[in-house]
Amino acid sequence: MKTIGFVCEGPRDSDMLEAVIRHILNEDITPLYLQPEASLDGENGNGWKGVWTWCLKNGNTLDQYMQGAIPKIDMIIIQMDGDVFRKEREVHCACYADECAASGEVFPLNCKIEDCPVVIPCGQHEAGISGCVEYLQNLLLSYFPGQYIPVCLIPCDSTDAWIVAAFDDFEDSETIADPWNNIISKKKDYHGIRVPGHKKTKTVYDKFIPVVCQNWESVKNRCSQAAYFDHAISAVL
Amino acid sequence: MIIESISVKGFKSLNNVTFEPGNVNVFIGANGAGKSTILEAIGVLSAAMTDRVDNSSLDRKGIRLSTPSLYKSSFRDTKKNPTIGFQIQWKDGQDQITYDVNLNNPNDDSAWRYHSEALYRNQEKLWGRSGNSQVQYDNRVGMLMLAQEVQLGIIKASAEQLKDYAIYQPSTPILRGISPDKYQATPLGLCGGRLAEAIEELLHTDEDGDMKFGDLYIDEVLELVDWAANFSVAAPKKSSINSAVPTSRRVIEFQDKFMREKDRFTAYDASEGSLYVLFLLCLAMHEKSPNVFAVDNFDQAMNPRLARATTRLFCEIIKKRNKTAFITTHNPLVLDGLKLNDPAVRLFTVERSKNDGTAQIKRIEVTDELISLDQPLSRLWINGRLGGVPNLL
Ligand SMILES: [Zn+2]
Repeated sequence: MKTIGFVCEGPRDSDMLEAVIRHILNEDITPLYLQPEASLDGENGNGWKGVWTWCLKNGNTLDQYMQGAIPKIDMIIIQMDGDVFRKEREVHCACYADECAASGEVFPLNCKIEDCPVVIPCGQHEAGISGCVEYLQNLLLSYFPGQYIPVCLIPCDSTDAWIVAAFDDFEDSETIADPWNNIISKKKDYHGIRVPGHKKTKTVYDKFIPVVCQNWESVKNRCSQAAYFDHAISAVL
Repeated sequence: MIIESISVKGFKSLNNVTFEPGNVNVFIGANGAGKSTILEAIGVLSAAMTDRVDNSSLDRKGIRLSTPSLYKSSFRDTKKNPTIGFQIQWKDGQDQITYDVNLNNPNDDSAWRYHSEALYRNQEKLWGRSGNSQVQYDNRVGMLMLAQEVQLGIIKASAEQLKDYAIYQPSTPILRGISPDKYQATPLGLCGGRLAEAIEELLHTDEDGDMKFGDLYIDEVLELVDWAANFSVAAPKKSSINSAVPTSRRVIEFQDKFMREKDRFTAYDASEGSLYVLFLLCLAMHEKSPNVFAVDNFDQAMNPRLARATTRLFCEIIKKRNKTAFITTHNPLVLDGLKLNDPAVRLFTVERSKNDGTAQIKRIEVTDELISLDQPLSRLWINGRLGGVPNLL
């Protein structure tokens, strides 16, 4: 059985990716849920900040990290939602390096500078889904100088978009902002599945995931990152 | 009742300590450092103010009974306190209330004697007694039992919030419903008795038809009990219970994710950690549970990540319901569930002084310097930076 490490924004994301991998491979896997330690203020331990922090802290030593315990890790999957690209200034720090003395000196998540020159949406590079994916992949993968390069997945606008793509025939599944709040949990149920209190709980997500697997072909057609993920999994494992 | 400070003098290893609690107060320290003694001291204080201090009142609060003379501090090198003293300050609206008591504990099993007792509002004395008082009060019962309504006024209601204070220390067989709780209480016994009934009282359907457990959606609870697809409470059935097992009136029934829907099993076979989580959530959310309470060994039987997630949720509920909880732990991941930049959540280390053996309480506050070390609290604790560790390699 393959051992796969998940560096994800949250447990719902790894739940989804894990199920999709089982579906693609048609065999079981051993998942490891990798997470950086939280900083003292409770930040940087989860969500997109946690994913970024994990890359910073483990990138240089990833080969040893993967091989250093038995069973070895066969694959590492890093996931960060595409909404980070449009919503978070910190990831665009490097785009404004010329205008900021602190840029490059401090990890952007720890930067306390008051007059940060970054403006979002950032106009320094190509926008759109492909621009966003490429930018965030380059940002995260820049931390891995070793032999092994993780699979870096940037679902747009978030992993939840795959649910929308599995249930609804929208042309723009990837460009709908915040699909959880704007589509899935907007009403009390989504295609007959109740979403109590609009909350993204495991119970509710576990009802959506089988439909994503069932309609995986449609999801791949509607979401470029689903297609990329399918390709990456099939090619490597 | 928003407690601002608690002082203890001459009680066991607490020779002279004062600390300022928030809503959630976590005490860490080596074994034998005096963490449980702090929980007990608050219990004696609670009994003194709202009732009386004797074996039965202490027993109801979950305070381990020991030889009476062991209650009093007796350090070789410190001046022996003639009495055991407690002070508590709290906010009642805009007013600051102070209750002060000094007690003599007898050398036999009889009730502790009140040496002096006083209540102040913004330093103005509202009620008091001592050996010199004109009115002679029964020296074995405390203020709330003695003082008249007119003297205490609206303060009585806030003082009463300390009345039900108890130290909870659940044990697995009792949570499973297979042994009786010798510290019975409503809504929950101090060792975990009545868990099924308390859960049943919290389960309800909201106006949208969704199942809720107290303030939480049942699905939110199932995040922490993630092997279960659902749980409910029912009368014991022959099919789900081993006939050799004695059971309580009601039993918790779990539905396993991987089993057929109609197959249920009870707390007898459920994961230990999950029962502790349900117990803590009941304690935090039940309308009848004390406003001020303590949990000794908060993290029992929990996987580290479960302990962290439970701590996080527990803190949110306690803060939202404006309760006060005092907890002890040995699990580093409990600390990582604390948001210490929120003043409602406080961490204290308890250590014995190398000079005289008295226990010292220190609040750990998060400064920008500590944050800049970019290390989680769990690691700082294990590596010794916070104190509260034995000197072992
Ligand atoms: Zn940019």
